[in-house]
Amino acid sequence: MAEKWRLLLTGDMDAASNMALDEAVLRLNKDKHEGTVRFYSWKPKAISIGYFQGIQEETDIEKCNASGVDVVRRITGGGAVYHDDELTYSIIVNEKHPKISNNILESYGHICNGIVLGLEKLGISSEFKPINDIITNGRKISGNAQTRRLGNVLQHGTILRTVDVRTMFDLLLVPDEKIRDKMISAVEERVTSISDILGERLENDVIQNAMIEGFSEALGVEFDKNSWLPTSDEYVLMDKIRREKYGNRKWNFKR
Amino acid sequence: MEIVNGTSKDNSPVISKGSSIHKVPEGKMIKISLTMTDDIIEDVRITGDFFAHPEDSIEQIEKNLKGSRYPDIPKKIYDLITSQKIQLVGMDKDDITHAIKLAIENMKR
Repeated sequence: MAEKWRLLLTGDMDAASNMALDEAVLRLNKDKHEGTVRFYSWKPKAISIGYFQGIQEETDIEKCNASGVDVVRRITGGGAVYHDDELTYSIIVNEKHPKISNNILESYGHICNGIVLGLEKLGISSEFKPINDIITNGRKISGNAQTRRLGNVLQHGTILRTVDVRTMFDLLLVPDEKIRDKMISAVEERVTSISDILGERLENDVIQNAMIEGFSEALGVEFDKNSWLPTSDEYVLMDKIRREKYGNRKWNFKR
Repeated sequence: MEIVNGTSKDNSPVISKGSSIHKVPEGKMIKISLTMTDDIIEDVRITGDFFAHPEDSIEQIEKNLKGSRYPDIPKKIYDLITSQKIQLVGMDKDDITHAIKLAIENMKR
């Protein structure tokens, strides 16, 4: 019988809560065998920046504030992401789990295979493109980021339902204002979304179910679909981490 | 003030700032901003969209480089990465050194 993993479906939350819940699940994961896969989305819209990015180098904070867009620093490296119409996933699993490679690059590929298989269920063929992207017809449809802490792996990533490069660049800073328009066009050429490819907007549930099946196949695990909420310990810790870290200027502005 | 070889004519310390952006081929972006007094690094900040495991290793590298001169940087970075088993993804130790070198070359005095 396939190994049982836990599923968390937490829907829309604000940026600080979303990041705090991923970290709470990571911190409380003592189980060597049962991993957790979570799906979520962002309300209000948000920008997350990578662990090593300078918040004022990357984002137009005033514009974000004025447009009601949250800005949060992730625990994971990687680039700035504008979280708008997308499904986000996270996977938290013990680093020693037999399905997780010690090699970080390899493990990206393995986990991302869940999304590749999930997209296939939606009729979209895609492939993993190292370091941390999934592309379809040469265009990025999913970006992913991983950290390893306290003996656990946390990988989270986005699956774009629609993409709005113009709004994204309105909120992000570019190294050279003179080439802003050129950059926007170049990025528009390089990214795509489920809606772009299928020509229709799928319900989040449909995408979510496809991804659950995709991860289940890729990892050879079964999800318990009868329970999908965090534990009360996870909620309590999430609240603490949200207050002390992701909802706090000290963390978000540390670089 | 006239500058000769990184020191001012009247021997008062010269404080200078520099920055650089280095895009690693097939990899990520590294941004450096640094402050030097004469030829000694006062402060260096390594930012970008790369990955490093464990994450706080980059802060350690930044701390470790304070007070050093450029020729000592490659070895300092190498030693820390080896002894702390730091894994870099999307860049390697030579990319960090290269980006710092670029920032020094871009110094505004």
